[in-house]
Amino acid sequence: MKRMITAVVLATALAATAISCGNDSPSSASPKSVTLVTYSGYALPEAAAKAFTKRTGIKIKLVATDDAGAALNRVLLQAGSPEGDVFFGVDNTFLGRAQKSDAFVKYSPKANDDVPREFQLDEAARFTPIDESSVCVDYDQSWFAAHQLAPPTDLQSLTDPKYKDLLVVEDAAASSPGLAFLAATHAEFKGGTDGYWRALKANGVAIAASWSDAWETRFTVSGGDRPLVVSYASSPPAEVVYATTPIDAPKSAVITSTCFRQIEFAAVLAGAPHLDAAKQLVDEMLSPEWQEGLPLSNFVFPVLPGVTLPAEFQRWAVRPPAPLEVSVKELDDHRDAWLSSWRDITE
Amino acid sequence: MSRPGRLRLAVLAAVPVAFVVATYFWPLTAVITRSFRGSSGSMIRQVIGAGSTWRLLGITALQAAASTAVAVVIGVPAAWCHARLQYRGRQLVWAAAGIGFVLPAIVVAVGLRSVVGADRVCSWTWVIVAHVAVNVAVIMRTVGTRFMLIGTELEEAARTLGRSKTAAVAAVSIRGSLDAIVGASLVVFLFCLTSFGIVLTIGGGTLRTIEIEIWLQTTRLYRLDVAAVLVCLQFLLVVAALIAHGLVTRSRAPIVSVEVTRRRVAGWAERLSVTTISATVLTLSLAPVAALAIRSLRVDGGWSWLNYSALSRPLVGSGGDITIAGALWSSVLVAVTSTAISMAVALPAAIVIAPGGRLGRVLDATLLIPLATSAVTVGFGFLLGYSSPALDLRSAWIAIPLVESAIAAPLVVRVLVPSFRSIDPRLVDAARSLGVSRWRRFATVVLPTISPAVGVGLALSFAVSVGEFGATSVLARTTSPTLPQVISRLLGRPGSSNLGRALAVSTILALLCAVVFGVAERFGGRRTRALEF
Repeated sequence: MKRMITAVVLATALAATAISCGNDSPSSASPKSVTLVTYSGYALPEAAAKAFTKRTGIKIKLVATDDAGAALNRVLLQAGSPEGDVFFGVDNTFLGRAQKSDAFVKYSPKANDDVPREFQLDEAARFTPIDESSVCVDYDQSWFAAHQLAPPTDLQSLTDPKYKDLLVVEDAAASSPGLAFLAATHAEFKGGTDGYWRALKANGVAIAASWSDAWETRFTVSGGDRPLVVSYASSPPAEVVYATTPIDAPKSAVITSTCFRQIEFAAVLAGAPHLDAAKQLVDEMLSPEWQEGLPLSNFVFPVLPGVTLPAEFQRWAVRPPAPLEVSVKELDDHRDAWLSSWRDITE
Repeated sequence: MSRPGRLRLAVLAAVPVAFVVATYFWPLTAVITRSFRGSSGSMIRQVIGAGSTWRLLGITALQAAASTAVAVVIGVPAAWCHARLQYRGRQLVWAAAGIGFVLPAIVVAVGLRSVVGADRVCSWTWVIVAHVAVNVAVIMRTVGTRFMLIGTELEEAARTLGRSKTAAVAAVSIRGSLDAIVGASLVVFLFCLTSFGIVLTIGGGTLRTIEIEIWLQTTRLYRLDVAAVLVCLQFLLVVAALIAHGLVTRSRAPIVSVEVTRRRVAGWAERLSVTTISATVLTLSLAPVAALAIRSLRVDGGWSWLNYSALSRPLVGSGGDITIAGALWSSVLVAVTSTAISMAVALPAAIVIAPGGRLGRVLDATLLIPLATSAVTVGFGFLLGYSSPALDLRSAWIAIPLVESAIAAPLVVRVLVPSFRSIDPRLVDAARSLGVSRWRRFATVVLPTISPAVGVGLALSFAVSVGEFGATSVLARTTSPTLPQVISRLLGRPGSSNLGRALAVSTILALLCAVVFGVAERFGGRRTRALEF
């Protein structure tokens, strides 16, 4: 038994040594890489990323976790000792929270001067706008045709009894399109928003945990039970591009009057181990090549003017003429209160 | 087995204790201190005083109690059948329940959703069904082994004294196993109290337990202070349940191997009951995975391997060349490392716990705590607790195996302890008096007794590690994600091809867990006892 104990202790010690030796972290101090911290749904525009690496010799690594809001909170939690160099993925619904933190440093690429004023939401020049898209209610065209029902035309009509049990939205507390849609309803109904949500609830709105839950399992286009879903203005082209077997036209379409515009920003992280490379990467994100790659990698619109859109986008994506808007300040002042009453109503 | 001295036990205990402190208590402390920084006592009072907090606690406890009750109602009769009767499929049912336990929660939940339908699945009923599917093995195995120890003679004696069959079972077997039943129930209750993947995947956004609320407050609402209060409340609940568990299971029956005689199933009523119970357990354990596998093979209304052949393509936008095959390989590598760590921790722990002294009992309970707390909190604890320049584990490769082994090691201990207890001291003494050297005694007496349990323990640890989702998903990996991380990435991308690939990866993951654990049990299972609490 004593031998055995000795053997066990020895084995444990060996294992411990192995652990401490195997501890050379891959992200540490190799000068020719830059780490982009982002959310898990994000995809690099491959061609532009490769070109960047080829030109500069800097390899892009990704730390991609969770939903956009959660990824931001993770960064804020680790302010000052970041997991990477650049953060991408804070949008206008969370910008206020990010601006109050000391997790980011001032940096603005030259190309930012060419980006239209409407996308510039940060006066302290830390957050560079990269892309924009709209969160909207989408509908299944074939479902409405088959049921000989006209699709709803605006937010108010979603409470109409003829659309009972047809809509699925994302959890506003857990999912970033869910929060954007909640903001859309506040933009539309102001003080009457709580009443609107009570009416939606009475009309049988379903709540999904995440965008993928809503789109992939509840939306009738993917075989679910709800022909109305909160998604993006760019979901129709995404449906075409990502079809398992090729399709000619998307089944989903966008109700443009319900759209809320999301602008996504990039920022250099305070304490970034590779500061120069970080700045180069943010520069690159506003380059024409990177911007051109965004529509088909992330299904968003570039913010840089004059960038050619791919055919699928020109054909199927919608750029709502007058999206609903809530200012960064208003959102930041009311986000917690809005979420809290939303949770009470929908619980 | 000669009893190791107190000092030697203390030295051995230092290994698992250091491990639990490093992988659990330190990260937890880091989260809680960071969360309470700058917050006021009034906030704490506000959270604790809020009716919504108590409602949340109530719902959490209620669903856990209901899950446990159903698991007992199915598990105890299943255990009795297994212990007392001989019928076709007896071993299959036992093994299937075990496989249900090692399947990743996310796989069970996604599978159940495809059986029931996403629109109908979102209710507490299905959460309870999933909890029972995962945990019925704990009841079955803990109680089944006890039934075997009690033997059939007493039941027969009761019957000759004029009791009916059911009354005899109740009077002898159930009453004699009450502590085992209550002990196993408490463990199942704990697992259901803190279950994360199942409630989140089935419940969508609407079903909330305290664990879901902690996750929501930490990751989404950024109210760390509120989350920390909830973590503390949950911790107190867990510790209370563990103390109760320790008190109930204090008088563990001596472990001796009994030759059990099983009689054939007699009469149509008994046959019907056995079939019903077996079918229930089999369906619960295997239907979700079967549904998943079937759905992964369906493309646009027809049968196709498309989702599997698409697996060789690199993941879009991963910034390089991450493929599913690569993720499979890195998952296996991570799980093997985690398994090695678990075993290195579990062996000394089992040696300390086996004799059953006070030190052993305390260590036993301490090792169970990480198993019954928020994996998400532990994940965040790693981010905050190991971020200093001197020791930055956040993006270190070893972080994920470490977190996974914190969850797997207590389960391995549970497999090893009974086999250490079953080492026959008379054999060791006899060998010693015959002048057999220590190493030979170890090789000829100890090793043959514990090696099947070590094998099953390794497999169990591997299966649990390879499917771990909660803590793993918090810890970032830049270049080589594990399979559960790939599933979550695929589910977060648009398009039916990505969903199909997610289902295919889930199926592969489920098969990997099932085959590894199933095979190990098949070869070592007769003499080992996994999943007993």
